[in-house]
Amino acid sequence: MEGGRRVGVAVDFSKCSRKALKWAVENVVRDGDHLILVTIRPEGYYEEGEVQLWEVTGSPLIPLPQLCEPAIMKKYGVNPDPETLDIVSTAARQKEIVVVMKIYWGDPREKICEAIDKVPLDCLVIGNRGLGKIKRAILGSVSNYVVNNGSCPVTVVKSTEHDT
Amino acid sequence: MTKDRNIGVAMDFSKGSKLALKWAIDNLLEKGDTLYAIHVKPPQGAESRNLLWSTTGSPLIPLVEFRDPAVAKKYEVDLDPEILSSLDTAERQKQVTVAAKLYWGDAREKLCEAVEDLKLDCLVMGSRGLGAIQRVLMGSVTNHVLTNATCPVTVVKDPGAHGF
Repeated sequence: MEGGRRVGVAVDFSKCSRKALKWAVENVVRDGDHLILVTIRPEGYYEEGEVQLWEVTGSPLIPLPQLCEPAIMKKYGVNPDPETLDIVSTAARQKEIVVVMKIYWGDPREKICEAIDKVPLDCLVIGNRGLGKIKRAILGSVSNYVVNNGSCPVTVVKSTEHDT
Repeated sequence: MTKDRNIGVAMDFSKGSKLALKWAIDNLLEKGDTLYAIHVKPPQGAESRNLLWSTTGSPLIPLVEFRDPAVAKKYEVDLDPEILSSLDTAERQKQVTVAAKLYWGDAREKLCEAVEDLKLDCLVMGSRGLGAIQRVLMGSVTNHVLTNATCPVTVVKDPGAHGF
């Protein structure tokens, strides 16, 4: 059964989200799929006019070559770590997939659910340990919220105990 | 790139779990994998066979056996033709091994145990089973397993859940 699916992975460039990304790439993503990295930035005080526009709709879909260009990513206020870029670049070489990133600004829980509906995503993979302990106690975990409220199947990849 | 993974699907014959099974077959399973249909029955005192298997669960029952009504009767499981047909398709079209395993006890605990027992690489489940309360977004078994299982867990939403 061939691909052509939109597989989303929520990334925040933490160790746990890299684990989720690796899992998605190794277990779900197939030739013909679109791998869509979704990352959420805090709502902000950006001066650049474009970002103000994108705060409402989310960024355009950013293709892989641009993701690897720090100068371009600076404009979005996003700094993908080298390991994440490596995982997706390797995946793009080994399988016939399209890799893009979409950036939203706002509350991660709401925005990830919005991404599922708007992009739209056929399924989503998310780690369970991004927020620090205190934020999690106050806001509740993002992954929990997304599993409950997202409108597509959601896979939660646990971080191992030793991860910070 | 066969990885020969062990994929578990929690099966309580609810609509949600049938959807979860279909999702796993269409989106996750690859040639060479093993699909475990896991069913947890409430603990039953009398039957001596059950006592024997109450700790370890039943032996692994290959598809060819459990589709036999006599075997199903022995295990006191009502065969659902829809499920059998999905499993059949999986075995033939995707070339995966299909086996069932029954446990007796609390579904929350037993599913988490199954992850270790069967060395599952991933567990797929519905969001709501046969529980009486239809208003909740996600049932207590799913919640518990999501938090406690040691492998990635995919939750496939129940149709007709809030918001759909």
